[in-house]
Amino acid sequence: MLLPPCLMNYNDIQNLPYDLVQKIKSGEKKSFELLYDQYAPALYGIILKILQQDTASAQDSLQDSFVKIWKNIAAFDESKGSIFTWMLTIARRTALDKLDSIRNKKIQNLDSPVNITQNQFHTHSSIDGIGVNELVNRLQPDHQILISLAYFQGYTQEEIAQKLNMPLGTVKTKTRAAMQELRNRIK
Amino acid sequence: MDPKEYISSGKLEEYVLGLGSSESMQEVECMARVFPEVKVEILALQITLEKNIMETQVAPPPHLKKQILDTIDQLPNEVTTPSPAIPTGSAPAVKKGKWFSGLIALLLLLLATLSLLNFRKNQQLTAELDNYKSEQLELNKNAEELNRMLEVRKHELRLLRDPGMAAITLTGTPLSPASLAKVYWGKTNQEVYLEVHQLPAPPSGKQYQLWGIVQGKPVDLGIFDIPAPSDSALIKMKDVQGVTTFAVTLEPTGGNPDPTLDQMYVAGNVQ
Repeated sequence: MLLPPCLMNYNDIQNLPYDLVQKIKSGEKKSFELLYDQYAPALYGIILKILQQDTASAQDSLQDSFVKIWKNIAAFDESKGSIFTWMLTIARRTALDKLDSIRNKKIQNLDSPVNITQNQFHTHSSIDGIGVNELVNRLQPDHQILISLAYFQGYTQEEIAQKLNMPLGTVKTKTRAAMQELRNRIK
Repeated sequence: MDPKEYISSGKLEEYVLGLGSSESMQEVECMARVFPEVKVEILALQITLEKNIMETQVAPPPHLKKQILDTIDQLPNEVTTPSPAIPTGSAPAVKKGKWFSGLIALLLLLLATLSLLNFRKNQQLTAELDNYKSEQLELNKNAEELNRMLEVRKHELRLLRDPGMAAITLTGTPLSPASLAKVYWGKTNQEVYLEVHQLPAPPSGKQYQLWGIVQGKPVDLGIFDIPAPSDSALIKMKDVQGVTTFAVTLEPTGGNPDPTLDQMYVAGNVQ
């Protein structure tokens, strides 16, 4: 890891061989297994949250994520950040894509006004019902909703503005404020 | 752009959480390359996020690992096979070889650095230009003021050099012995100019008034205020003929038809 020494208090990463990424890049599957053992539980945890505890979809997404990680490992640039951040981005993206396809299927299945109402109700309750990260739970409620919608449900700021019936500018300002709060909390 | 300001803008948190647009992702990455402090901040945020996510681990079912490894085994045997792009700033897909994306990144970095430098230079030049503008304005104002004063002094000099102009010194009366003034009187053109050398500032509600004694009777030559140093020292008063004595009295504001004699501050006879 190319981290400054002051940031090297990260035990989990220190357990891994320093040249793990190099070995995976050269095609060593044993090293890839190590990477899986180390990070699969954390990635699975986040994927489950995004997919609202739907285990079948979550397992699909975890598999897709690790296949992508293996295929794209050459593109991972250590100077930009840790391998975990990179994997996290892939896993989150993959799970959000899955969530999208599930949502689209639901919309296709709609054929009566009753279903539309139920679906809308479901969407709203999922804001509160989603098992958001510990970190996000510590934020003030309106900031929690924004971060949950954006990070765990993958909505763009435009979509959030529509959903919450809020001007886009307000969403942007509030997201920034939420980020600032997050920043103060995680320091 | 100030890196400290950038760090506190909230963009880094958006970047770390993967919430920004791809443009803003690229922007953050460029900033991280230009400013080491931005990079350190990003790494610190990433680690805090990772720690938080690590806290909420869920073990995937054991069979999944084997399934994944089997899938990978069935893949063509090159790790760097081109694959569908992953639309995120932190995890770009392999494109047309590493040198190509490297070149793009380098060009982007170069472009960002250049625009940043350009932006800074531009800001600096604009600030300098503003400075010069206000300086020039100040200088223009000074020059105008000097011109005006020069005109005033030229006019004064012309008056004083006029051979027909008599200078009469008005000295302080017992009421105010230190007071002193001068009257320049054109005996041919009847013009009267007053120059105050020393007079106490008048109390509020009062004003000085100049008088000329013509054939034993006081004639009003006008009221005046003590001029500011930048104004003409010579105050133009009313024209008069056949004066024998000039005097200044303190009168109610606006002047008096007849002088208050016990309020006479200076007086002088025409030679």
